[in-house]
Amino acid sequence: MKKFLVTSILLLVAILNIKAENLQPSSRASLKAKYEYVHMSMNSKKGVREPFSQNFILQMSPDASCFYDPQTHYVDSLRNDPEGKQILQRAQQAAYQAMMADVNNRPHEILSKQGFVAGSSYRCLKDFNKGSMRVWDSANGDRYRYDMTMDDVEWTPLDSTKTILGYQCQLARADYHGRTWQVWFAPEVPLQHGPWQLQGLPGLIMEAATADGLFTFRITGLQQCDEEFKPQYDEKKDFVSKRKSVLRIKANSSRNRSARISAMTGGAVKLAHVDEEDELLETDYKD
Amino acid sequence: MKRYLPTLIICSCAQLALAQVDVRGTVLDQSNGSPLRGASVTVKGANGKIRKFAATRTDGSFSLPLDSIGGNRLEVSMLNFAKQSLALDSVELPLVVYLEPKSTMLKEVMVKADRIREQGDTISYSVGAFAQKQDRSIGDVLARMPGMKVESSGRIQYQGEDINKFYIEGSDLLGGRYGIATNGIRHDDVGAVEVMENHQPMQVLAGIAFSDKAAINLKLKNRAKATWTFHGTGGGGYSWQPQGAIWDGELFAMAVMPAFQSITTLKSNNTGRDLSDVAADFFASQRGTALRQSVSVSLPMVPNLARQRTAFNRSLLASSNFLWKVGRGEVKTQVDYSRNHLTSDAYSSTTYFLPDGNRVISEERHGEDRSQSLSGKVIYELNRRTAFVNNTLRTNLDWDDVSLRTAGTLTTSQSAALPDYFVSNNLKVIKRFRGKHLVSFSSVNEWESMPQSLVVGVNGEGYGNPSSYASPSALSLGTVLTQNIRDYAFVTNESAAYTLVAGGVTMALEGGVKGYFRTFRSELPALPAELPGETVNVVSTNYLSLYAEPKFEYNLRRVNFTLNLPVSAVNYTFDNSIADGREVYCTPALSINWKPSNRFEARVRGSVGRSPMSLNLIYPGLVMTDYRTFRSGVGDFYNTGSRSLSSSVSYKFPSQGLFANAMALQSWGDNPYTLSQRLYGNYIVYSYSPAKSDRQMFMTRANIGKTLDFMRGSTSLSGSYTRQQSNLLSQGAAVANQTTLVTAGWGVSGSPLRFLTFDYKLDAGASRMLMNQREAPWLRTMVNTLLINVMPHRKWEWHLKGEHYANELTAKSFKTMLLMDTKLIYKPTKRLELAASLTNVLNHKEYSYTSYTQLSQFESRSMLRGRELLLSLTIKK
Repeated sequence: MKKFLVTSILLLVAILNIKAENLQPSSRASLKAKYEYVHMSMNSKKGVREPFSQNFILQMSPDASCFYDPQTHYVDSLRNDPEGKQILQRAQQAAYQAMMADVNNRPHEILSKQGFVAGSSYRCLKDFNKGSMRVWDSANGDRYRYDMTMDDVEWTPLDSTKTILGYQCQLARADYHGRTWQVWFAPEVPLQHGPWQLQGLPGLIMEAATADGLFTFRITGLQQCDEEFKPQYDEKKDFVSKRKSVLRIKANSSRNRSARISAMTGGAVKLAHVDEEDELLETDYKD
Repeated sequence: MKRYLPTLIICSCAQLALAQVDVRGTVLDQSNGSPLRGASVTVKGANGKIRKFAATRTDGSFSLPLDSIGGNRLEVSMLNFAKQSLALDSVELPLVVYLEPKSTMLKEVMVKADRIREQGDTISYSVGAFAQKQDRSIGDVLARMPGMKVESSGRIQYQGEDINKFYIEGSDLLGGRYGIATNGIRHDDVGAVEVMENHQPMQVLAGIAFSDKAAINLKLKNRAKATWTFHGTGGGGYSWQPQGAIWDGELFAMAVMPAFQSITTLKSNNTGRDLSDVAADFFASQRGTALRQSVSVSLPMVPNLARQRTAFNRSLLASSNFLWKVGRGEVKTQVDYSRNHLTSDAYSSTTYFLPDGNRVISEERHGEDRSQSLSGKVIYELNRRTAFVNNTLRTNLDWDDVSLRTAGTLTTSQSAALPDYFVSNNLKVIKRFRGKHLVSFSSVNEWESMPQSLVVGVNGEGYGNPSSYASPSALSLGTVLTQNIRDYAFVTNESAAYTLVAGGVTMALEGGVKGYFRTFRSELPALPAELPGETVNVVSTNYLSLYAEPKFEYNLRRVNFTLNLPVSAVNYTFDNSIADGREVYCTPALSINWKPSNRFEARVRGSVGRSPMSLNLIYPGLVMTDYRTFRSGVGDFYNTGSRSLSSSVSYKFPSQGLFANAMALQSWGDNPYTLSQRLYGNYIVYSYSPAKSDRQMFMTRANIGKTLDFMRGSTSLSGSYTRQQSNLLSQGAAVANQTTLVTAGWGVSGSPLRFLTFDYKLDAGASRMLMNQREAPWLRTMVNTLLINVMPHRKWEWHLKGEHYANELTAKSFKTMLLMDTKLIYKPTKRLELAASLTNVLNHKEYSYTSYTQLSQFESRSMLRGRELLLSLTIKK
């Protein structure tokens, strides 16, 4: 019995260790790019589509890449540092005091201007040696993590060319996880990297858009660097899951947003407009 | 049959064309034959369009099935390798493609939005956001960035600490002579300045040895990359004092290519700008030969005034630097030549109010200094994650001839020839095994010769008026004293080190042998009669040292502990007058570094130990340092003791542009000998007495800087306090000396209006010297500098600069002076600039003052550079 207990504890430890495997690349990033992500999202009140944009950074080494929102990374780094937490708290207090003084002051706007509001929780770490990627995304305030392979995209090169940031780019097209993507890649930057989950072309993807024009990634900066890949903070809090499950949770959470808020506030807050399911970059979870 | 033949041929051709071809192969690194993963393999059709592509797998292999390959080309490209392109018609499959390492030059577009961006240990400053209209070089803009301090020589400090590397596009072209770049590169060629904190220049030590220093990397704009950039300025004009023509010229050429970098600069002027520090090596470690000049004849200087106001010079500097990337390493060559001719004049007179009438002692000094310097360096460096190799061959040849004539009450002439020849070779090899083991070997060999000659004539060669010769001297009129010194040293230091990293602990053991051989000879043919002592020195001070330096480094969360325990056993052999000896030394040092967040860092360092005295002090006979000062060293070998404790803190908040740092240092030392000063007639003799003496020093300084975003400016505040205590014997009586120095500074600069920028600085200081605690006054100095630039039109600029000095001569009696400069600049095109400058508008020609005590009056007069008009033309490419 004792033996069994020891063995099972050891086994458990081993399993836990496997789960906690760190995918953080061992190399350093030698190149980084900045992308602007634009989503033409539906304003259900006005009934028209309006652009919603966010900035992402793509750190690259020959073997790996890390795509993250620098704003989120900054706020996470504050939250995970005792002094940083204080800075955040002070800023939040100041913002609420500003609102007390004048109701026109919106704390969220003030904090956002100061850079204390996290952006997107989406993050993608690609390991080209293993041919796999790890994605973090959040829904309902929880952070999920899942791994997937890279080999499920087949690009067709097309003839068109375009100059982006001074680079001659070529057009390619592929269907990926439910949407058709048209991307411009630069053979002069011979890396198979790209923004979001896109990759696998013989040059860096500088611009990518879905055929319906709803989602766009556009490069706004590219420079050489020598820096560590940004770590993910607090990985222990991640819920490990699978891609399609997480997408379903996301879709479900947006569909039931008002209900959730109502539940959270004990029915005190009720959203006026009808819940609309957020459009996701991947739609194949519905299959 | 003949009829079917063409059909048959056509059919088989068609068959060939339809057959699938698998274009496959392997991509290898040409330098070491290892397979390359991630190379882009593309097949392009005859029309140049991409038909198919793939990335190589981990084993470097690729496979591209195609229906035909006629007229197609295969292209293989990868970052940092040269692109390969081959026609598929003429190749045999499977292919083996070798890629040659070659750095890829990318067209960069800065990833940035804010003035300062923080990314962990790297901070990036946008140059455009800090530059002002009047700025010329990148150094001008760097000085305006918070946390940064730039001296006029170009030396850079970040958060109060010297930087440890200066890169241009990631390459270290200039080494410690980066002042050439800070003062030479135009700021509008630089896109961003990156500050890499805790920078470890040797990649092989990354994660093993902790560095608390920062490095700077200049990211050039695209137009300054992969090309030569030039700029040159030539100017001529007239000066009211010294009367005559003046010039100021500068040529600067820079190439930053993927595999080649070069900076060549040529400067010359006679407008008071000393060029000798432009090519100074800020990373130069102390020479192991440790020779020191015994003769000290220097030109009269005007204290507390900017050097450029008082230097009468003719200066020339040429410097040429090249860097080639060879394979994975770099070869660098650096050659510098400079010459400098300085003259200086000063007059002083002291009137003693005596009952039988006043007695006047006057002195008129005229000095000339001609120096030349030629230095060269050849460096090979390989800086990889697994290996580091650096070999530096270096030579420095310096010549310095100084002559100083004094006329007046005592007429003397002194001329000194002080050349210095130095050659060295340093080799360092480090290899990392399995990530955790590090073996290094280092060999340092240095040779130096410092012959010195000093010729002193008293009332010789007809200078001055012999009738005014009032001070009695044992030297008869017209005496000439000649002193010749020969001083050579050779030092060799061979060491090996092993480092092991286990867990958070780094253990390093360095051991080696050091040999030091030095011969010192001096001879004075005659000595003034009143002076006692030997006139000849023949000294050899040699030693052989076996040493070991264990070092432990431990990282616990955010705290780094480093303990050094150097131990050495030394065998000294001297000439016959001193007994040979054997000594064992140990000087442990502990430092603790705490970095709880990216914003805050604190350090504490302490060391204690016993060390040998400076061997330069062993010479029993007298050496003449100038016409009235003689020195003798100690006649035996001693050990000295020392202890020190220092701490520093730094804080930064880059997104708010706030930077602050503070440090404090206390050190104690004790010597078994004491410096003794004695007057013999008109002569001063310094020697050492075998009595114990101790010394103490306390120093603290603090800086705080903040950006002022509302007017694109910044402000900084700094202060320091230094107290030094030492003992000496004067005329046989013990004197406790205490010098205290306090400084404070405040600066603010900005651009409050679109067409107006300003830069204001206030530097204040106070010093006091106490002897045996007897009351003495604080003497204060204050300098106010204001620079205003007006840009009424984008082609015109007008600068106005004022400097106000207030120097306290004796208690509450100040000498003040206001100096003003102005400059008008016209930029007809982007590449051309015309300027007219008027320096010292008020034409102050003298810095003179008179101070009084109850029994005497002291009058001093020094020459200043007078009004100067300079017209100049700048052209840039």
